[in-house]
Amino acid sequence: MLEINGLSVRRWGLRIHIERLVVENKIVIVGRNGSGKTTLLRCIMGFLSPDSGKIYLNGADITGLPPGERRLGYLPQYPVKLPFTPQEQLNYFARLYGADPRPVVERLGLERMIQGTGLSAGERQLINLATVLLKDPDSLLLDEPVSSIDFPQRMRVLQHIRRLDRPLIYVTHDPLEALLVADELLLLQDGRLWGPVPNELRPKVEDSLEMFDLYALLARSALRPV
Amino acid sequence: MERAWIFSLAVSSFYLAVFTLPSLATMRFTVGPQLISPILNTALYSTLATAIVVPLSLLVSLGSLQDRGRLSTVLMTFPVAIPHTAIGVLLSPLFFRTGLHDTGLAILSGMLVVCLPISFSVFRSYLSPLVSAGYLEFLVSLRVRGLRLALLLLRSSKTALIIAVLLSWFRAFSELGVFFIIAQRPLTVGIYIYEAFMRAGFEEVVGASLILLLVALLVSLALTRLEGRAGD
Repeated sequence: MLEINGLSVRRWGLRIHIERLVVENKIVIVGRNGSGKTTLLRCIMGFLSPDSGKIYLNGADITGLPPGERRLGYLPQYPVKLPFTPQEQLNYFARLYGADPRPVVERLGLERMIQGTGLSAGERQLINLATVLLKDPDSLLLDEPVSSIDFPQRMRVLQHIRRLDRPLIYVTHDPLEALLVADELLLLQDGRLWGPVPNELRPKVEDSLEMFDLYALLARSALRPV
Repeated sequence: MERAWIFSLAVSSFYLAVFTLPSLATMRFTVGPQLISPILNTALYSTLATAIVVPLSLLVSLGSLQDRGRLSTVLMTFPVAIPHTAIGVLLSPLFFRTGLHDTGLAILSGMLVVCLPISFSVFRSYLSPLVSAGYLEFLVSLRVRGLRLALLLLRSSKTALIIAVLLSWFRAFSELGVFFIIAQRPLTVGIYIYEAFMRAGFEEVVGASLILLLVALLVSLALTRLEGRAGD
């Protein structure tokens, strides 16, 4: 369980204050561009020092720990391209953590992907997610991880995120992503978190997802090249 | 704007012509064997200086990307605005009071001072976009730090590494101003050309200078092609 108490941080003239946030399931924080979503995640991860407040992970105070020592997993917005093939990347970090990559590969269905090179952005983000999971974090922080990915791959990545078995904070400005991932929703506005609200819309969104998949829709139509 | 490339090519060709045509118009010029020793000396010290400067500047540029490290950018790059003879003057007490002027150590030190800003700038300009893309933070969150982080960044930046090595090496090789003040011996290429010119005139050194120009052109071509691949 991730717990944030009295956290206050200021960045680029914006002050964010979180009175109390408890993360025991999948929390999605929505907010417009510039609302401070990334700043909040970076502060929880330890890249930014808060002006005040405490962060607890499973009861232990991690506020003063360096980012790498926190049992948190972090996935940034852009699919980072490390200088490895997919297999090399997973092996490198598996060695670093003394972990076995096979369970993570099987869970995310990456058996074929890790044999390839020249990955798409969505595939790279899945490999990076697998890398994060190799660290065996107690909680995850996902900063709009699918914002630069096309719709079909975005849905694939979101499905895997939805199936993860640990608490996470996911930030996004996209309502569709939020509704597909969240157990609970919060709004970040004017530097404060508003909510939480249980996500009762997810079943409806999943059912109507087909109508947003323009790629599949057009592929089924009788199209002619122009 | 459609014809801008013509203007660009014309100006840069004129730039090259200013360096070469008057010299090539000389009817006689020679390249003597005396050039070999200064070239070998300068190449040796340039290689040593580059081997020190490149890893050091990578580590310093990494630190400069953190909020508290930003001042190091100012401190690492200001020397490019100082005439190199002035740099030599500022270094001179260190070498003259210890009797270390006109030694290999003085040459190496002069090269280190002028190469650090260049190598640092190459790495910083490569690393800065990675910071904004979350690259470094991703690695740090995965517990990659220190030497492991530096080695991983080097691995992901082969092109930036090659550019830093080439620019540092040739900057060191072409240094003159600092050596005028603190290290006229062992003989380096710049000092050799100056002394030969003063002793025997233009024809004595024009051949050597043109050879060095040709090498520099080839290096510039290689760097241009590499920069197009930077960040791969």
